[in-house]
Amino acid sequence: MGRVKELSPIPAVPPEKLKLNEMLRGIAGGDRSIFGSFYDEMAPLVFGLAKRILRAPALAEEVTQEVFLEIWQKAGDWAPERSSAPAWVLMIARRRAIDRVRSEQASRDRQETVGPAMSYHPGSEPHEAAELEAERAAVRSAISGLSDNQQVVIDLAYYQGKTYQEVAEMLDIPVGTVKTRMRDALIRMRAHYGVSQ
Amino acid sequence: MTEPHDLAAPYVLGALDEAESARFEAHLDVCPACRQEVADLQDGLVSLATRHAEHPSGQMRQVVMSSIEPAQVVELRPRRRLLIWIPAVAAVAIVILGLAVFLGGDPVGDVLGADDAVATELAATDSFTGDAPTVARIVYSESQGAAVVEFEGLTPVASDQVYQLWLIDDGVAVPAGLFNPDDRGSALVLISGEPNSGEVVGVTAEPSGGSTAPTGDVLFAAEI
Repeated sequence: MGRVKELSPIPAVPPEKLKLNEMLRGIAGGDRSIFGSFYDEMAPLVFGLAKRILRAPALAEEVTQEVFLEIWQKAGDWAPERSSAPAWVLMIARRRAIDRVRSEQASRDRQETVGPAMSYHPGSEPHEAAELEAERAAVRSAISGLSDNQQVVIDLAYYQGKTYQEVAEMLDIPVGTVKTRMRDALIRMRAHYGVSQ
Repeated sequence: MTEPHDLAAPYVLGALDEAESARFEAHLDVCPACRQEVADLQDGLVSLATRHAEHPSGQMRQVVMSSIEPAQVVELRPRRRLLIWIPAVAAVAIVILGLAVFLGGDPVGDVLGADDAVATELAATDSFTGDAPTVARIVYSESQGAAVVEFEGLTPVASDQVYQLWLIDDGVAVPAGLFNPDDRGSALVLISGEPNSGEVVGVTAEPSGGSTAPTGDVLFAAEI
């Protein structure tokens, strides 16, 4: 079964990925110096993702730290047939960043005197709404190569942690359309693999 | 029920709820086509992440690296020092070492116990005329940035002499510590300075008190 995967051509993927896989294997073996090199390779991706999700550099740094500690502790659990090393790391980073958004939101809700209903809609304040919109626009404009429709779907699902059904409801479009846009967006990103670097 | 094959993209984006994600993973076990699809889409996601890549602050690396190391190593690094084992003060040295261990400062032990400790034989040169030691090696740990020289059964030098360690880089020898084996010929010495992989460690016999540059022939040598 593994052979099917090996025989399929993966044209646009740089050898970088293979190197990172090797490194993660070394980390699973407890090699601290490899871990240091792996940090150097992956920290910008982890921090960049955490910052995009959390919007606060200080929180993003905390999450980045947690992510690397988890990598060190759980490298042995990484299943190479399930994901490449960078994909595995990004999965951990996204999960931790979104968990952090939710826990920050929950503690803000507890502190809110106006009641939780307000705090779920920070956009209800005109100033905040404008700010939020500007931020969202910044996200969208940053993903060059994607159509607006694709960017909105990626933004809601990947950076804001919505399920594809929730995305469909929010945008009032069929779930099939959401899934297609998601897939097209990722395929297009893959075609750009390495181009931006 | 949804066709599992179209769930690859939502799965990769983390946009499936837990139950659906678990079902899709079970499907992946039996569907090579979906595994390939997931791998391709994950590459897309990694590519997306490179768009937003941003370097965290410089201190972050240090914080992260220290979070994965045993606490006392970081704390005690500045206190790293040369241990000299001289037979006459062996008892004192043992007490001091014992105290150092008790306080958590055991730089020699940290090197010998490091996960990345690598041992290299210290080869005797033709200039060495004593009996071949039973153990002659250097143990280097890159993560600790330190190396330890270990001897067993080493013939002592004359009473007015001392063994001296050198770090030799590009033909330049820098003093790296003095030692004398104990009466069983044992010595365990932390190399002073900053040993690096690829440098050569040499051992000479020098007048008591040591020299600033080697005056004797190199008796043992090894590349770290």
